[in-house]
Amino acid sequence: MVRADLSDEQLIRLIASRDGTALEYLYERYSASVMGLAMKMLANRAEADEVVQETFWRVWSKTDSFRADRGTLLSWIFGIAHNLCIDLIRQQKVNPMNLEEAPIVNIADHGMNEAASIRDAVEREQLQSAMDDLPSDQREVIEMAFFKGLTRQEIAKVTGVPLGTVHTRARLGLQKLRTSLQARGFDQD
Amino acid sequence: MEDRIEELLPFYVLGALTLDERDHVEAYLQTNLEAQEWVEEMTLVTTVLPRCVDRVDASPQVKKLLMERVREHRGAQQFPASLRGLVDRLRQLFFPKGGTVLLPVMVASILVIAIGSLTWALSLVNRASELDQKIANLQEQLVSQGLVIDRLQEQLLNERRVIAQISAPGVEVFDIAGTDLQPQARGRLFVKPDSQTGSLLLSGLLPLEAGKVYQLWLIQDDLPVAAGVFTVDEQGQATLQLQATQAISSYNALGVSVEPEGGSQQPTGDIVIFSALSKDV
Repeated sequence: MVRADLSDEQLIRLIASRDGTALEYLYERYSASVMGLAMKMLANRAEADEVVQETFWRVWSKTDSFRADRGTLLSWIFGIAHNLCIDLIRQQKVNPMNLEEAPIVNIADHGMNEAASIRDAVEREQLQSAMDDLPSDQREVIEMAFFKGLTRQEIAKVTGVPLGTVHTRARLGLQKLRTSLQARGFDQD
Repeated sequence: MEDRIEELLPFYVLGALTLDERDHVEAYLQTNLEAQEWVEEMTLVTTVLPRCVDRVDASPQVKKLLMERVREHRGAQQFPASLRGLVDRLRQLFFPKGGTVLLPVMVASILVIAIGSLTWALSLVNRASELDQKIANLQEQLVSQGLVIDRLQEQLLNERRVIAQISAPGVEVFDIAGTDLQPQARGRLFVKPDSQTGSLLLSGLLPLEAGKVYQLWLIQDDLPVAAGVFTVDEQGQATLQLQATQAISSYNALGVSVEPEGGSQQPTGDIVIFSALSKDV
């Protein structure tokens, strides 16, 4: 029987040994984060639900493709969810440019102890402040590319600036954001 | 040509390329170490970006459907593949696609083969379950060894964050002292003026009996506000990151009490730390 306070690494090892309870715990811990990302990208609750289910199904069925030396479990899970959202956007099942943001209800942190909740809140504040430090035109390009899955050409069209400018803003924005994140204690892991 | 690919790299990192462009970039990265390093460095951004999004509840049926899918998958895996193959073979022998009835002699021969195959399959199943048991034991060992690594990694991450906070310019430092109940307890609180977050380093606290935790309180006008529960390590130390609803330096005092597991609405147990949040203290 697994315990809720097991670390991510312990949970993924148990999931690899086909422990369904461990997957349930992992779901409790991170489904709201994945749903948050999917809602931000798709602005469509049904599609976002679909992404959450498929993401955790892949965690279960493709556990062996997780490489702990390439990043945290949460980063891997976010990567899966992000790719699924991009696929949906590209398939034009949803069109984020035409949809208004659906109302988002913040919830209490499930499956997290109080210390983890505090850490999570501090981390989110630091991330938001790193984003806020970016020049708005660079932040806009990064958000359109990452959260809305827009291509370079689409971003140029939406913002009305030349493609070369979009390239420059993306590169500068990424570099600045990385420096800013590192200064706040975030590292590759 | 390379200039054009270099322009694609930020969008590759952000996951915003078309499939063709992505294939093109990945082929390029195979041969260009410098570009590969740049991409790896920038990947920090995309691994961290999703964490600034607010958490949202998925619909309740998502978990239900997921777990049903998992149970079906596990059920299918538990039926040994070797046995499934045998059943398929027997089905093909006794019920060929043409639908003709086999001669008794053929049936007898097939039965002998089938029984032999079944015995062989059962021995394979036994062998497989022995190997499963060995794998389970090894996985258990991995989990226990991973415990130590995980604890150290978490400690390192936490310390990095605390170092980033306490070394920030303009940070204020408050000395924290134990009460008569635990006079050996000491600590330091690091906060930036007007910041709602801070780092608290504590030492000298006694280990608690099972079912008890320490609870931190921020106090304003004699009104304690719960700020989290914690335990201490074997050395009686704890490193905490605080998150308050108002500037931490606006509170008059900080206290720590002993409470039942899960914490309390108001302090109910022994107050082991109490310090005014004044730089003169």
